[in-house]
Amino acid sequence: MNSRNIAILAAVTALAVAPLQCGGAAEAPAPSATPSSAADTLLSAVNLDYDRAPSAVPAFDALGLSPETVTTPSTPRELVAALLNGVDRNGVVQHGIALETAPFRLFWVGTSLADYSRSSFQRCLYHFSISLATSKAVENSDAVQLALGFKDVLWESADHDPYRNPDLNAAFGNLLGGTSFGTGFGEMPSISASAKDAWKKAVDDFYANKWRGGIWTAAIAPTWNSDSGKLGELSGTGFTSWTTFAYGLSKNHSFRIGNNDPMNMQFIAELRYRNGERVTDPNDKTRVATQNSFLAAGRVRFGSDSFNGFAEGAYVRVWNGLNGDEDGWRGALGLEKKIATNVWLVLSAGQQFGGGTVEGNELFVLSSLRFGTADKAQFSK
Amino acid sequence: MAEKPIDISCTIQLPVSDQHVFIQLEEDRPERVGYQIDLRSPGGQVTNVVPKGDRQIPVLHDLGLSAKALRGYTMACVGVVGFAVAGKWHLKLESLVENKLVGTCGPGEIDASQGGASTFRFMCNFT
Repeated sequence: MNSRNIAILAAVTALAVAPLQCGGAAEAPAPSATPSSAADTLLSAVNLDYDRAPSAVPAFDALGLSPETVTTPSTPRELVAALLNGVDRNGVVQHGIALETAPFRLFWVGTSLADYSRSSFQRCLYHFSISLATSKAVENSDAVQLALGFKDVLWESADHDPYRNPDLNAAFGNLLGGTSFGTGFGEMPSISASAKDAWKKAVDDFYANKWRGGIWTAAIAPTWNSDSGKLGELSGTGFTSWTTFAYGLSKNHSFRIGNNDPMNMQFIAELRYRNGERVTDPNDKTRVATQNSFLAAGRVRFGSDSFNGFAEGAYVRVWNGLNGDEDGWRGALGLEKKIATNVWLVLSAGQQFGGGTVEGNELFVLSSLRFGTADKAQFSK
Repeated sequence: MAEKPIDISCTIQLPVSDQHVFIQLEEDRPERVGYQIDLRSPGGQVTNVVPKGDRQIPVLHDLGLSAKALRGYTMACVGVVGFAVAGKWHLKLESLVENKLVGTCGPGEIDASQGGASTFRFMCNFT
């Protein structure tokens, strides 16, 4: 088995073994499927993040950052302070800026639930966000890279939206019923402990099953680089843009296979274009290219308490890469069946076509046992 | 985290008008709210003007009395809010006569946790 086969096996096994997360694409991106040791292949030259979370922050994503602390200004004053702190008195951009804000929430008078529920345009404005991130371009240098991201939720189904979810509407009705108002002129209204707990549980359940329903997001993040680190010497280095659609069947539409547990299902699709990405051949640091790439990827995930599975495919096109222009695609399947407490049988298979040094179409199949503490398949009810 | 309730008292000076007084709640970000509104006359008689119920605010409520007639009354708007999203949330009560804003009570602020719930009360003395 050559190194490329091993890389693909490792990647697909990682996908199969990783417990499918509640929230799935919506909240918890699965481990990247990029082969770690097959850098000479086309598919490794592009970040194959099959299920980019709709909640991903564009500026951070464009620079490949996962900041632990994100500044989220809630007032214009906080925003200005954060921006001023990002540049020193010599005009040098600070490293490690990670900022995200929703401008229409900052500067707008307010968004009431009535307006939000009534108008999809109002929801678009409400969810529109801007992000800013900086990082060192190269270790031990002054060079800094900066990304400015813009993102919006273009569509969201009511059951995916915490403000419009019908189950939460019903739960709030119960909270209201469990609240004693009196006449208002005596004691303050009081909420019974049971009503409060029931509301909390309803909200927790909603977020635990946030993969249900649909959401469609779009984002773009231009990037800049400054060798001196100075703000005035930033020059454009391209941009990354993507759109992600995720849809999970509602609990009323789950299905059964035989007498098994109810099965849930989620569809995820992503289109992504990266312009001006600088890549270096890890085996020959002198080989560099500034490539453009396009990715179209999709995944179906289904699961219950005792059974999980996925099917996925991706098409990649690269222009001006390390090997010039090329394209390729990959498909994979995986099944995971619980056979005893803490023991899962995992079966996965996939195939990759075209690109880079691929000499032929290669099929692989893998079966294994997974032992672990994550006994409960989380992609379930 | 237990959210602190909003409890605000205010005085609203009404214009000399035969037009009815309307009131509405305004929030700065969407959340689910339920409330009721009561009026207490200068003689101490309490009338429920708006029954307890959940509403997508803002909803304009007619207090049923003219600005002239409402002087000396006290109004209590009491309610509950359930937070589906964490973060600061502001609520205020506005009084309108002839479609013009004549007074605002609040805003009050609640620093909410996800799944939290709290109560509010606006007590307005009309003069």
